Amino acid sequence: MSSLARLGGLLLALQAAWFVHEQRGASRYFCWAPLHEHVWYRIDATVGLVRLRDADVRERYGRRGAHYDRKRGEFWELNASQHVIDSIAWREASLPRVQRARVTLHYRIDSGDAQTWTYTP
Amino acid sequence: MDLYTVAAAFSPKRTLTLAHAEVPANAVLCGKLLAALWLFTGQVVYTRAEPVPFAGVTLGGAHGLLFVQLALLAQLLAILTILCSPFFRVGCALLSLIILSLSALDQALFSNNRVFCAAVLLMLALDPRGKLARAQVALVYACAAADKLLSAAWRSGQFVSTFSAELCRVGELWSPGWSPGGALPLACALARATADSASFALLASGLAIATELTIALGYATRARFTAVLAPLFHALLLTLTGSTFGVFFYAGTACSLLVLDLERQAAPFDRALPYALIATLFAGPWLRPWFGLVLAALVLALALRRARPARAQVAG
Repeated sequence: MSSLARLGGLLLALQAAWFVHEQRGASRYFCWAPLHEHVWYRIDATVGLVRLRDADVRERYGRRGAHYDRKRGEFWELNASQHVIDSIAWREASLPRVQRARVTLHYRIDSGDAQTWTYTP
Repeated sequence: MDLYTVAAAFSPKRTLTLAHAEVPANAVLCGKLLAALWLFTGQVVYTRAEPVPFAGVTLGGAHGLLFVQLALLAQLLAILTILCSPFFRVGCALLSLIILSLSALDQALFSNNRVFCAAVLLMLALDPRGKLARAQVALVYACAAADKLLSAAWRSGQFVSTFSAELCRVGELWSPGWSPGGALPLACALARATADSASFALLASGLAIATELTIALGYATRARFTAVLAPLFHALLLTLTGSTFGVFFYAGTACSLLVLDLERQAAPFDRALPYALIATLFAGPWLRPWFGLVLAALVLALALRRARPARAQVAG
């Protein structure tokens, strides 16, 4: 077996180990979990005294793959809900403190009970 | 090897050539289809000038318009190398590493389907026989099934029932022929059936998981039935959701070539052209959810065509 093939085998083993690791938390990054859950959510974000529009929210947090329901004013995604939370927390953390938003996320996993998560700069 | 020799080795005539010194024809075709579909479905376009960095850690220089343009140029170069040069494995490694890097740099760009494509290309680069690529695809389907088995919502059928209900209400999802809100009769039928009977939701859930496990086993053992089952599974998903899930429909279908001996297929399916034509048919903006039924019919017809001479040989 060549060293490249051995490297490939090692990468496969690492993926299997990472899959087990990701099962311990709510996120599902790089662990082959399509359609793990579906989530409806609304993001209320305010920078200073300015409330961001849904289009700005989508751009700011990179949720362009999400379906936007105009009637509900909500987004729908087939990702793990933790990925939406991470996109908000990590985007805000990468900005200078004065540009950070105060964010409240209202979401429902698999059409279940309403939940709320907040980010304060 | 000097730069002139390298440049002279590139030729558009190589696009439909599957002959390679080390890599079998089915693996070359799979890699070429992945690269071409990555280009034609617009996955190369990386437009996030301001990324969402993983864990909030931004790498210096890895954002802005120049970075976006360089990422596009590097991907085009890698695709050209895969399609039009003898340096197939180098091109696969390059494209794979670019996709993985972009996914790791921008959380918003992370999706299983993009990483799936990158992982298969990387394994094609590391192992010319295609064994690792098959093992990679087996691992992907096995993990997908295991994740569902470990999820209470999947085990109870709640995911299938709520997902199909929302899908029926929302209509078509994202695909090259995107027409938001277009009716999805199959999703609505599934939503009605799962709403009427919890056992049906449980059955549908179990069937999805069992199919993914069977596909994983098929890739792991190089079972020929996988070349039929995997495209049928993705065809059903396309018809049900109206979505290709980015490049997942294409990658999932193209990877089924990894279990075939292309040289043993009946003409013209022992060459690249028919597969390229089929890919073109499904990659354009004219794609509709019912195209999934066309793919299913095509795959079944080819499977029957192949099975008939085999039965005749046994009888003779």
